[in-house]
Amino acid sequence: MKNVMDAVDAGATSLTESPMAIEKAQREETVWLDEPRAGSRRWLHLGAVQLGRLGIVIAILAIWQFISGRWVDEFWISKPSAIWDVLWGWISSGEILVHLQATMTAMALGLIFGAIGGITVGFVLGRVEWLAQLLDPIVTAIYSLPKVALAPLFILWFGVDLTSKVVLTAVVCFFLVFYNTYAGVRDVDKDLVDVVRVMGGKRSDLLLKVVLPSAAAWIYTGLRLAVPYALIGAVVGEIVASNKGLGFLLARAAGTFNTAGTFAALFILMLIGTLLNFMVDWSERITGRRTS
Amino acid sequence: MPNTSTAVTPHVATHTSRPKIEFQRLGKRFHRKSEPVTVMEGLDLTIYEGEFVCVVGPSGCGKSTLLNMSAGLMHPSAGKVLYDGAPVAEPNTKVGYITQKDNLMPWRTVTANIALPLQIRGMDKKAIGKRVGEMIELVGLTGFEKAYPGELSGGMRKRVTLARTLAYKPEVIFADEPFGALDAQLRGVMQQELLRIWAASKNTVVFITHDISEAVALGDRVVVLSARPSRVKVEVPIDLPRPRDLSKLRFDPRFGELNEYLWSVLSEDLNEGDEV
Repeated sequence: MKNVMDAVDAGATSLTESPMAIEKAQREETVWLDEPRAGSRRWLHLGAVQLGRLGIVIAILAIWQFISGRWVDEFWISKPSAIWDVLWGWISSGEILVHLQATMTAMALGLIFGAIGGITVGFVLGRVEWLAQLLDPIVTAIYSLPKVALAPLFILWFGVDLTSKVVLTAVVCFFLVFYNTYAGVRDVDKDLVDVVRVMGGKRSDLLLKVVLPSAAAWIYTGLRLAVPYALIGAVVGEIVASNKGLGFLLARAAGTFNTAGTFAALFILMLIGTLLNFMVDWSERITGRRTS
Repeated sequence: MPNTSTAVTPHVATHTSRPKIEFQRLGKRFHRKSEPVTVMEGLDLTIYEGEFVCVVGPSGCGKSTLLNMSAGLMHPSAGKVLYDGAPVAEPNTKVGYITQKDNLMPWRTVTANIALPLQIRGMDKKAIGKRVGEMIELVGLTGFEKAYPGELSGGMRKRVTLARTLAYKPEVIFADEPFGALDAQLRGVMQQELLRIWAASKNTVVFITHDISEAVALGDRVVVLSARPSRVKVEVPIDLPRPRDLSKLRFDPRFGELNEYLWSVLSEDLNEGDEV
């Protein structure tokens, strides 16, 4: 081994040290970054941004608190202190837990069932072309329907309890995951399939070692898109008809002209939505290395 | 007519080793918008065991099609492709295939990519680990075992492809312009590496390229295909001694002669090829 490497070195290297050195240099070149800011200055910069953001939020809340009742009727815009009172009331009585749990359960179950269905159907239609052609217009027609418009029907069928919300959420998530899975399975590189066939790969090898991992990035994209939509599905279902959940809180407050309660419910939804986005970003960063 | 003053004579098969792949009166037609296009007609060629054969020809003359038929990924429209004297199985799992594209699994590390064909063949885990280790050393990838293809340079990815192909010990390696996407300097490095590895592995190699100097530098024999419908126009034995030092080869007068001769043969068909 050593001898051959030496021979190669002697040959290809009037200009350079060794074949590996050339490639190593090229590789390193690609990871060069802009010179980072000095540590303390960078932190100062980040700190200033955070402070600025906090300042904006405080300013908005202060202005809101000030103009409410003075320039604008409190009935329309409520005020931060009143919203906080409602929030604190929900939290201290423990009532919020019941609603949080209801919404999160509907969301999680809907997401799981929708994802399983979407991946399965996407996979089958992606592999069986004639079936995909046969079903294409039907699937497109259902897809074109605004899914939340199905909420009244599902409540009619499954009642005001959890089931109707789970079904609605599942349907919303299904299409996002289905279309991405389908696209991912269809997108599989024909050359990769051929290479594995020449290696002696059987049908099962092609599915497990090429199609599934290759489609995984697409499936993941579908799941990522589905997460915020799961929240939409669950909350819309609750707004239409329910006896608990964040959507129910929102609809009840607005229905009784309780502006503070409406804002309080919206605030919680905003918090959950933001949290979900953070989780998605975080999982993306973990898996990012492989999919890039 | 080719320049005959260069003392290069078309090849007459006088091989002592046995035929590995035989193309007999091979023909291939494709249908483009219901219009048949004859890519290849009456092509006769024999590849002998252990030989390094380079195939050049104008673009669109069906060089890749030739390999696809040998690998059992396409069927001939006429004639026969024999492998070890028998019609090619579908697909031909005794061969390895390297193309211009790396065709690595981006979700697998270097190690896992090289292990793939061995896993498919049901080799046990310990043996796979050992074999992959040997391959990584052979192609000079030590230190990059856990990297993903996306993190590697073009040349490194090529090394992984080579290692993956050699890992399952194919009898024949089909290379379809494998270094076409690399820059000139890196291509030189990889050509030298290929010769080094080939000297150790002793595979039969069918190497397709559009670069005549690459064909002369690497091959035992260069086969020139004609424009469509293609057939073998001329076969030239490359009598340059081995091992070859590619950085010095270009100063060898014989290398220049062979290049010049092959250019003159190929250029007769180039204009036709461009019309495709």
